[in-house]
Amino acid sequence: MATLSERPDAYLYVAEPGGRRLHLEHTKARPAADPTRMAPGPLMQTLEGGAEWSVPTPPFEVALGPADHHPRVVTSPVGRLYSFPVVDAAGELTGLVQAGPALGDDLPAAVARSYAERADEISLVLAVTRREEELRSRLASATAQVEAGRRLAGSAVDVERLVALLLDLGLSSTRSDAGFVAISGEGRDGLTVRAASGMPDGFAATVDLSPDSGLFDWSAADGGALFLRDVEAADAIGIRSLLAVPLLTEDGQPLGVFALVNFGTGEPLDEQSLDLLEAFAEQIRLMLNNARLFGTFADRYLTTVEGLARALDARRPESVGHHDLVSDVAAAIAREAGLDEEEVDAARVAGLVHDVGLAASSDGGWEFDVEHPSVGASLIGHLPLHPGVAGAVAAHHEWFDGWGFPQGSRGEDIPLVGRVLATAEFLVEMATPDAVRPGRPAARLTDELRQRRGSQFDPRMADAAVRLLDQDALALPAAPLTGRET
Amino acid sequence: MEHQLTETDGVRVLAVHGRIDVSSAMTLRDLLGAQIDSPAARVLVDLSDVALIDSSGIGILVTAHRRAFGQGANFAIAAPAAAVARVFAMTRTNKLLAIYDSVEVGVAAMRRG
Repeated sequence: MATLSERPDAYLYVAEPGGRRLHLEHTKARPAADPTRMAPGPLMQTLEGGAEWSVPTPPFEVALGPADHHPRVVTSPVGRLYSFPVVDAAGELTGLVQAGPALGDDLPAAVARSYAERADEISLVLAVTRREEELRSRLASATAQVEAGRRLAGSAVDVERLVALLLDLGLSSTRSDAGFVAISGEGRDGLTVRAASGMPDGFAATVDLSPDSGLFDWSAADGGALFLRDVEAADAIGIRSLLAVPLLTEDGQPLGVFALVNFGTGEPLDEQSLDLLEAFAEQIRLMLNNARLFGTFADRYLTTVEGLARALDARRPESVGHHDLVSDVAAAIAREAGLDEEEVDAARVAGLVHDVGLAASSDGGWEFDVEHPSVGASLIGHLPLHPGVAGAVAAHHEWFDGWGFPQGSRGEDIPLVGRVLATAEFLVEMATPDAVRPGRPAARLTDELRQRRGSQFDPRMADAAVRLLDQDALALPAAPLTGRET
Repeated sequence: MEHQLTETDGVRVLAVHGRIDVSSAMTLRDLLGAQIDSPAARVLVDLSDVALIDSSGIGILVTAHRRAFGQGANFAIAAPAAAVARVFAMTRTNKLLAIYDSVEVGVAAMRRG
């Protein structure tokens, strides 16, 4: 044991999921001025200007080869090292320990024994390290989700929560028993209760708020005048008094209704209560108005971005309709993979705009090209869309094994809808003929998906796409059954 | 809710006392329904002693106004207290109703009409 632990330099490499590469996780090395270090060679002196020389550094990442499964001597930029595999309880190689300097080309039996005596301990430490890394990754993912939720909360969800808060404040300040806020639809087809407090069970779902026969008479033709039409209905649920005020836009368009209700236990409304009612009604009115304006802006903005994406498609004959195709295929894969309907719609929307970041590229050069997912995501990241949309646009060139761009994210660090979109765009690209090659037929696409399953694509998405191809259920460009392929 | 019915120069004046809310709205509806009984009816509701009105009370008044208009009768409101006038404004029903500052002004206007 002393033989190994006497090595002054040691490096711990950890295998990534999938096990094709190892990353340097921990280093224990002699300081630069240590007299036992080897002298710098002439090349190193030249590079460093001849005055000083740097501590040689080990590679931060190494490819895993078959020989790494056995103890051996390896040559590294830091010199010759003894290399030992770290194996977990299931027999999987999880890392490498490299210690040195090695004294020769052969691994001494005493050093091998020394490592073997500590192998279990090292494996356990590495397992803990990997678990911590996984937890950190999950925490980062959860943090990202919370952030995405906050973004979403800037739109509809937040409005509902704030309206409910204002309603509660209004009730407590006026000492009313109950109340509700009903919001009108864009088409003015009636009111829907969006926040209620103290009202009877089922009130929101059962109350009739239709403009022609419901609880209220409320007509824009009457200047937005609002009053109770159905006194019997109010009486039937025990209401003693109800004061509802209309919430209107600046130009008199109906937004909703704010109502205070008493069942006989609260304080009767008085003039001071009217001040409070008016103040809270104005706050709610402003919030609904702003939400409606922002929603309209967001819809129009997204339509513009979609139009920009289609204009990009039109620059080349072979790419006409590309975004629409990717959108359809992404939605189909998402649904087949079992994503919920909101995520399916996010995949659809992301497909419509996924390459819009290319619009910022004047010359289509590679340097900018690799950033187009980030640029595209930044164009829509502020919109009140499902967070999966911007996340997918940002991640549609990431690979499941971490070899994609621009972030090099891997596995479940890649947003779920992004993994869908990556698969969809690949299929559309492969199936679309261009100037130099025909579109690939379904059988070829299936082969490609199977080969890239787990490396480029999330296996779940690749499998879903294969099932859809088998069923001929994807709206891909018509491809010849046989033909020249490059 | 209490009330008194008088007639001045052919105008029936219904003076209402107290609060008008769901618990009293149906009583008010019956009272007004009985008075708006012909195209010749002229009905003025005196709200000077009404402390507060809610959406149900306003609904009864607007319905009475529409019913009178449909029959060719005349219906109006007089002397709402500040809080009541404010509720009419907040609910935007002040534009739907004929509202006079006082009973005297209302009677004079309706007598001429």
